[in-house]
Amino acid sequence: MSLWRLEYLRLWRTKRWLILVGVYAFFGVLGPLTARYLPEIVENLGGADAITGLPELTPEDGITQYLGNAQQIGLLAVVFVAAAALAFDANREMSIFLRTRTSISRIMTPRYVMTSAATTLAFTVGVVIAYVGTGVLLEWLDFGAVVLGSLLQILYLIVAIALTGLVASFFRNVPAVALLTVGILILVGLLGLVPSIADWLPSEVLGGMDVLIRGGDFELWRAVVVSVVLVAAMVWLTLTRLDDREV
Amino acid sequence: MGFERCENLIVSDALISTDAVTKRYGNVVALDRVDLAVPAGTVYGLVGPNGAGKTTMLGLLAGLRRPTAGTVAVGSGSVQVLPDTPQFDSWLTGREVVDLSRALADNGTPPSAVQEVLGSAGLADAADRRVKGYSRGMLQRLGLAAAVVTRPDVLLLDEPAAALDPAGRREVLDLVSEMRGRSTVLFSSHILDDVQEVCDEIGVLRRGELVYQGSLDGLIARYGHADVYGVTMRSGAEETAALLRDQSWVSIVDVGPEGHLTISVDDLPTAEERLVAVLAEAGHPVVSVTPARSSLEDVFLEVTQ
Repeated sequence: MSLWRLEYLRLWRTKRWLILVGVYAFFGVLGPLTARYLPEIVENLGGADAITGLPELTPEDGITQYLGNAQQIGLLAVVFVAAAALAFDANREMSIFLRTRTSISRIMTPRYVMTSAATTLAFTVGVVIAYVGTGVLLEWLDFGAVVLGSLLQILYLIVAIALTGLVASFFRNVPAVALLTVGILILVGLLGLVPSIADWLPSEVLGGMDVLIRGGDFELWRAVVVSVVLVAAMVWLTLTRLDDREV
Repeated sequence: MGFERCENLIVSDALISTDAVTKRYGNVVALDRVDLAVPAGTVYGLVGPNGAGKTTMLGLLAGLRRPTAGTVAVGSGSVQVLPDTPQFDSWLTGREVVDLSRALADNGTPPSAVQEVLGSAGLADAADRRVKGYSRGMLQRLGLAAAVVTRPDVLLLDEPAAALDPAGRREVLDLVSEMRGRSTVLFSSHILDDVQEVCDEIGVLRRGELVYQGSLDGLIARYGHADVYGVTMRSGAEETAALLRDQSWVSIVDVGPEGHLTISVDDLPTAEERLVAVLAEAGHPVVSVTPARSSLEDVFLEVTQ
């Protein structure tokens, strides 16, 4: 029994993997369906007059509809699953069990990696479903653009996981950690309204997929570099703070 | 009776020691210049009422907390600590908890040791059940098994038998007794019977100060009253106790069940002269008056009040 297996069991036996995969897969199915059948859906809901006001649908909407949901509900699921794994001092007795037997970095490394891996898997399942669904129902999109766009989305989710860890080094309660993390992510997103700093914010990478699949150029290097540096800095600060914390 | 801070004990083979260790939480002094010395291979009882600083001391010795001042030295080997209410991830089985502990110790303990300690802890039949269904006593024994499997040099137990039923308490005390000589065990408790049963030496904490350190017999010899009376009243025990507490030669009066008073006195000649007169003055029927001997509980109450 290793700490890696412990984290695998945490995801498996608590069914948290199912929550993650289920959420992303659901929106992966819903995105292309919504993009393909939106006029019919609106008409069946009695909004025949509104159909004329709908923007003209494009194949790219199959993916962007998926992302629209994944970036909200999916992010919430990721942050809650990450908080449950990373706020390990929430259970003081289990924390004592681990802290008196090994180092903080050995405790936290599998937690970061397994949570990130499960998140990556879940997002990938969702985006594959959305990609195939879009191809079947609408039109096949540029595969390379979808892959690069997905990597940007996953990078943002890893920023969110690292931020969750950092918040957990300040607070112990799991729901509080998750809600504060979501609050901070929303605030950072709002900072994107300030043009002078928008290009440097991690949240900018979220728009990358839409630009890429519509044939736009990749111009997000600053946000990518900031995101990578932030992840490293937040993980380092988290480990340092947890090491100093008294339980 | 006043008590002075415990003098430093020079214990050459102390495996656990603290030097004037102090721990403050804001303005609250949890431990105040404590000099603890726990000889290697012994079972040492750290006793004191709730809030005396026992858990804080164990936290410092385990490295889970840092002293505000002073130093802590805990041998050079492995240290395991068992909280008063052990909890584990509920979706793990007992066997997985013990095996995780074994693996994390990384000291060459073979996997076969897991089954062995689970058997010793009486958990062989429940080993593959998830700990969510374990009783409090089972969790306590599982915590001990997880500690023992690492073959620790130092084992720190925080109130290990508190809140257990008599059977659970017996099992835990037996497990602790079996550790004698294999590990140095520091056992915090406010249950004096447990301490008396398993501990070789004790330290008494009172409001963060170590007021005694040494053998149990030494504690009774040093602080016990040779002069204790047991008085049984037909009625009016509380009123009589109140009158007795007003006497300068009386140090403690405890009111027990069925009108029984335990009276500790500081001045025996005066007590012999005045006790019967005070009882008569109280005006309630007296069944018996007998001299008694200080129990460990009497001494504990006296030292820690």
